Amino acid sequence: MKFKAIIAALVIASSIVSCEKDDPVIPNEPELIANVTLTLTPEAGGEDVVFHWHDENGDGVVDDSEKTEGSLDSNTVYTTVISLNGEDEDHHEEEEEEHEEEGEEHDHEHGDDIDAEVKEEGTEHQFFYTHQIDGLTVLYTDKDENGKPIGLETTFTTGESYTGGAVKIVLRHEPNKFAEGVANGDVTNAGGENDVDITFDLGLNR
Amino acid sequence: MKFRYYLTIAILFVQYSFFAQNCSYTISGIIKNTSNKTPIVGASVFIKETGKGAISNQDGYYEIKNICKGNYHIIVRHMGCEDKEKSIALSNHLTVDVEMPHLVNMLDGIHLLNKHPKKSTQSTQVVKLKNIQKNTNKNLANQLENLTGVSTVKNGNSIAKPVVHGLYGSRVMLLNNGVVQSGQQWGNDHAPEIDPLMAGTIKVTKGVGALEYQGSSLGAVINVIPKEIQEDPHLHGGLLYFTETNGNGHNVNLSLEQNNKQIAWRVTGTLKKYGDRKTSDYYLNNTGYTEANLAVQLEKNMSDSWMSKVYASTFNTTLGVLRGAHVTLSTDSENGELSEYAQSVLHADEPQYTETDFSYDIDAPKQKVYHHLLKWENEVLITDDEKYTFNYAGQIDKREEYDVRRSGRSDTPALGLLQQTHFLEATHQKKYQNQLEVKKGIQYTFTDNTNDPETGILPLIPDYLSHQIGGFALFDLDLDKWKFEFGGRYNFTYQNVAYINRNVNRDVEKYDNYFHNYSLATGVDYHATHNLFWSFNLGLTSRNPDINELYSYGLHQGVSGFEVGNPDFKKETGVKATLGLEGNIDFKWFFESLVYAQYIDNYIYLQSENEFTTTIRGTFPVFEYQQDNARILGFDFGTNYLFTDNFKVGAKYSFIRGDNLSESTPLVYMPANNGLLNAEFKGFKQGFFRNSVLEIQYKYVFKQNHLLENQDILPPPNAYQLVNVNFTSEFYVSKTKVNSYIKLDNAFNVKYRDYLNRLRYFSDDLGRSIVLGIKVNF
Repeated sequence: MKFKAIIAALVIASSIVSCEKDDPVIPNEPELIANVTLTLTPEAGGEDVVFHWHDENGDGVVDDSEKTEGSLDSNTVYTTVISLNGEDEDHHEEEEEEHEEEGEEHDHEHGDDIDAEVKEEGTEHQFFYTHQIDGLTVLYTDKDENGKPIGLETTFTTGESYTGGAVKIVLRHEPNKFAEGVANGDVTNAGGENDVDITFDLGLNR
Repeated sequence: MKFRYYLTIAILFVQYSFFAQNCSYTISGIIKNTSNKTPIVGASVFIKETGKGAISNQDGYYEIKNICKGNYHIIVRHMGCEDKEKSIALSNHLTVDVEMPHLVNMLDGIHLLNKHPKKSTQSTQVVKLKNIQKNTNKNLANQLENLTGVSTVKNGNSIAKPVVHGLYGSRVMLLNNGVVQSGQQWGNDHAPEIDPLMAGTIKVTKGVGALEYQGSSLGAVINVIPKEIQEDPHLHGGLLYFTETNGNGHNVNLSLEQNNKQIAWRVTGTLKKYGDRKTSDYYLNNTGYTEANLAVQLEKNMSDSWMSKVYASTFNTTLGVLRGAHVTLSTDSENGELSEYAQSVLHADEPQYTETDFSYDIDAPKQKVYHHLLKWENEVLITDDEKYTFNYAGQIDKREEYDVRRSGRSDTPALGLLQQTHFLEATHQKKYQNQLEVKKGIQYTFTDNTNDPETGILPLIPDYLSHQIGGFALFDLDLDKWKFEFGGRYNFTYQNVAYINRNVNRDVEKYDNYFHNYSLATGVDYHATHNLFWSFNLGLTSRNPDINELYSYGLHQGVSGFEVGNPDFKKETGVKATLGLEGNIDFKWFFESLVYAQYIDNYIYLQSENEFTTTIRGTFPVFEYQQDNARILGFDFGTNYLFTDNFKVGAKYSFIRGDNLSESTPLVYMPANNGLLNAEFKGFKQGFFRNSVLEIQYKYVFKQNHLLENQDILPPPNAYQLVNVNFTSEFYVSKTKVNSYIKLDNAFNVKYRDYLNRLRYFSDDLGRSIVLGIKVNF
């Protein structure tokens, strides 16, 4: 008897509590770096060379087809800017269209101004451009509060012997910017953790 | 208080006296050894209030004459045993028989053979109050480390979880006062939210048959049992303080209790603070922690047959994680070898961000964990042999993990989980003809797990709720030399999961999961002679996949791996057999051994796939949860030899080997084999050190050699050896009992790393530490 009563009580109790989990609130992902854009502008004038890496799904796998690469001239000085952001405009539009179709509101955003965050926390960040390309020199042209480079702005200088090759771009968070060689762009002693770690193949315009 | 566990005092003699005030009463009785019931000679018994006393004779008999009517505390004292205190109300001649756990104290962790010392045919080991108090500086998992067959998985010293016979996490059921601990047990870097200082005893059951609890017991069951409230109408308590040099730790613990006619109560509170810990030669930056816990126990006899108990506890902690362990170990995209940077991190002498100064600061990465439990227990006696229990337990578990993030987001948790659990239970227990005991019951658990959307990161595990309904029946047959046990359980789980898809639109996918879990266990105990017995236990149990095993997806920074779950996993089913032999020769040489074999069908584990995923943060090895068949074999052995009552030596050894049968490879994360030698000396006859114990412990942990080269990013660390020294003593300051202890851990400041400590990739383990503790009992 008692057990029947208990079972009945349990059944009632379980019918009161819900059987379906509410839809979770989808978090905003302000830190997500979806795009890395490296823009090289020839100092003497000419067309920009743009390298781009798009990775929409955050920690998901990068689709290599979303990578855009370009070629540089030899004997040229390029004023170079690297830019990070959450999503490009195209994507926003695409997404809004999709949401409109579904009759939903656009309810997630990605950080658009990661460059500003990196700049503001310049003492805690540094870009490293590592390469073994003959005839290519990369120099920092920006500085943080301590006079150490950040690497958002650089110059890429190609010489006569420039033939192209791979440049590995690493953004380190909380590196030791005072360690030996770090201010000159040597990542070896920097420490810290990677926010960005990608490789672009630089071509040569013949 | 603490002695209550062993204390059996019988008040036998009742004689009515016509005189109200009289000073001619006698207290007498026999002092016996708990274990073999032999009389204890030369124990002193005295009245705390008056100091009047006597010494037990050849038969263990004592007599204190000419005592006035009144309320007293009597104290029984014998070398090698902890003093016992008992409150008495004297209005007549009184017989007080006392059992002193003389041998038990000498033997620590080894069972003594007399009738049925074990309640079950399961192999069970117990950490007693004495040992908990000796190791007050250790957290729950580390408290269990010295039991054979038990080790710990750690993420630094403050975050540790117990491993029993090679299994841990949700395969090891943790019971907090008989309630299945509900929290985020799936995480390897999530320590159990229980304060061991609240415990009176901790029991580890190594078989699979603890079927009366609604949880997965595929591996083992660890039950943390609070101290019982002493039968004493006066207010009593204890104040404990200790300090530890490594980490400049300080801890205060206060407990108060009273057992008056209306209600019995106890309150225990702990405050703890540690700063950066230190290895043999550098500080581990950001490894401090703070803890604040409180537990309240209430017991009341509502009527002659109805007893009600309430237990409420709160556990709150902030744990720092080694800053230098929070770095990206990316691999080379071409060949999958660790990148140069990763190599340099793994082979560095000391971790990154190591600072030369000690600090109490706890910055990101850190964890904040809050766990609250409320249990209401009701016991209704029908007859002496039959009872019902009706229990409710509610739990709230809140976990926040903070990462190092940009733009002040380090103050926003990267993982925020809130879990609520409600548990209802009814059981019935009846004894038939003093031989057969039958216990059955039904249980229901509701769990609701929600992520904090303010994290700004897609959650590692999804939101879900679950309903669990189950029932069990246990049969326990007690014959002369034999004891048989048989039990079964069925559990149904419904899970509703709301998973955020990783596609661009971040859609919500709903999953409905239904799991049927069965368990069967059988055991037999055979007392071959008075001093030797065998036990055999066989159990079958299944466990449904954990939420993380089904749905994790993302970069797990702490292990530098990209973890991928599989929503199609089936449940795990394990069969485990244990064969135990315990015995002694002339109460001089004691031994216990346990051989076990476990086969697990569809064992779920994290396997490094020879695949790499390229994210914008670099290329990482992919770890996918896999299901394969596994086998774990091992044995535990422990022995003690008593040279005299004052001097004993002991040895323990644990061997374990795990294999993945489907892949013909070793199982990863199996503890390394280890051995322990110890010697204990209690020979101080007189004076201040009269009740003192000196213990020297030597531990040897072998290298985990049963592992293939490609199964880990770093080869397992070398074997290591540690020496620990303990000195405990008990003395009186006027009439107040004071316990004190000094401990020296890692006496030779050995530099070592342990295979199951995840921080081994980055840093050494702890160096030398001295702990100084004092406890005042009143």
